Amino acid sequence: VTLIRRMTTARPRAAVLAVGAVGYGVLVSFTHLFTAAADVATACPLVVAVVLVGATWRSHGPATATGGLPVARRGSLVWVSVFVILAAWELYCYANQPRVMHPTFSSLIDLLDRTHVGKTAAVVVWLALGWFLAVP
Amino acid sequence: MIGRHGSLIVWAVLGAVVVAVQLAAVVSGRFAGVGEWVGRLTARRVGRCLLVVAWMWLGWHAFAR
Repeated sequence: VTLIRRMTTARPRAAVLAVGAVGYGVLVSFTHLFTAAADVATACPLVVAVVLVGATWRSHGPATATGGLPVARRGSLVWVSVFVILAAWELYCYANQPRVMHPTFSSLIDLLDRTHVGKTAAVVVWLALGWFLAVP
Repeated sequence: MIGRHGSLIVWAVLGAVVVAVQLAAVVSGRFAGVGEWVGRLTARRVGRCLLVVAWMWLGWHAFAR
């Protein structure tokens, strides 16, 4: 009964959040870099995130012991290696010119942001990541 | 010298490597995936704040600048 109750209450909430995120993504996709509209549209989720983190600050205590530590440690070398290679490639591209020949990660995001669909998708992913981080 | 297409191919390969490692982590269960790492970081207030600040920077850099 608890599970059913949780599913029926969680799904509408998730659906509302998803629709809201897509709607906001469409709105942001009509803004352009270095404009006041883009600043405001980007700042609003940042303010919400700060409020959410602040609201859950007391209830979010230090980490409790979990059984996943050995598993996590085993993968650390793999992930560290992957991110060192990524960082090295980013630095190589950043240090070389012209940018069009050596696109950085930011250049890839700019490519995505050129279309409404791409920018909407990027905003939705960014909002989902923010929700995951800000709401424990 | 590596050209534009070469650079984009390297980015694509690196992206594929990240996806492959994540899939290997999920399927095998022998090591932690990105979700577990993020979960472990956000379990502590400092880690959560650092990740939220990084998320804020990413959004500002990508959509406002």
